Amino acid sequence: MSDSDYVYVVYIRASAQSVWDALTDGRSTAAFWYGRTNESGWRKGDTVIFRRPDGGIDFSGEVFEADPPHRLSHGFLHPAPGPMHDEGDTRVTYDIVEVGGGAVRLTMTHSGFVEGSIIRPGVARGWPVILSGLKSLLETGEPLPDRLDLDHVVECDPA
Amino acid sequence: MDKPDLVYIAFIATDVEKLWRLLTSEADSPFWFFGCRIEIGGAAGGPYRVLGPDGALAVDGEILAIEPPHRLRILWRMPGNPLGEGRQNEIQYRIEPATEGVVKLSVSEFHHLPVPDAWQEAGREGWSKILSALKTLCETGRPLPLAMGEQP
Repeated sequence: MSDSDYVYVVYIRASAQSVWDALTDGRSTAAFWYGRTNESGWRKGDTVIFRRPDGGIDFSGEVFEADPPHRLSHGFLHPAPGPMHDEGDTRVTYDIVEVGGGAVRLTMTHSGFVEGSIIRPGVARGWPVILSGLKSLLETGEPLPDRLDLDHVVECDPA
Repeated sequence: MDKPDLVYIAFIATDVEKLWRLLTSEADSPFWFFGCRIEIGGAAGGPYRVLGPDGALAVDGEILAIEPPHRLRILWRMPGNPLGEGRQNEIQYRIEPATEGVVKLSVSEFHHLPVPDAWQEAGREGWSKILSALKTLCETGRPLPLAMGEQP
């Protein structure tokens, strides 16, 4: 048995390429993802590292699929020893599809949770903040305020 | 019935009153309900209807609770829709302040019966469009042009 996938769908007035770039250019995520930056070549087999603002590694994984600008799938493993690390690798997959009118449908599927996962409730709180912030950034040029992120970090990642 | 079966959430840079006005505006509803129009009474027991772009009745509901500007709960009947057959689900919108300048909008579904996969897929599709369109409208002042039943 395993816990169900967490799926979040959001429509964004932006090109697929802009969504792809915001997720993968390394710096943009800092504006909407609790301050995290990322490092990867974003080719299949590459390593992905997401860093906290203090430089520590938040999570890392392997790129399983990369078909820019439409599909990206990578592993998600907390490196610090503890119960979240012990749950093993989960998987984050983005599908970005043009729907006309200058908009795209972004579907984020977080999968691979063990039964009774403690990671899943945390990411279920985090993804709506992160992907709402991504949409705001791309549509208005402004991220959501930092304080929102900080409030939710406490709730999302008690470690 | 106090624990929702499904919850959809978006964070929106706006204020609670502005979002409430949009959510309860018959005139503005086509801009965020993918072309559908709502008809809404002002008190519990009053009607809540959704009319498709062609005028067909899609939801023939009833207001169960209305607490401006924070909560709207609706008995959500879908006459003639095979997905809604025999179901009397309840839908609840909640608008809560998240931090200064940002509100959390959630849509919760309460079901009396097990939720079929087809319902969950249709719901995820529909609510995602509604939440995305409300967010775009609040934050940019322009509607997000999404059509009903548009499949990628």
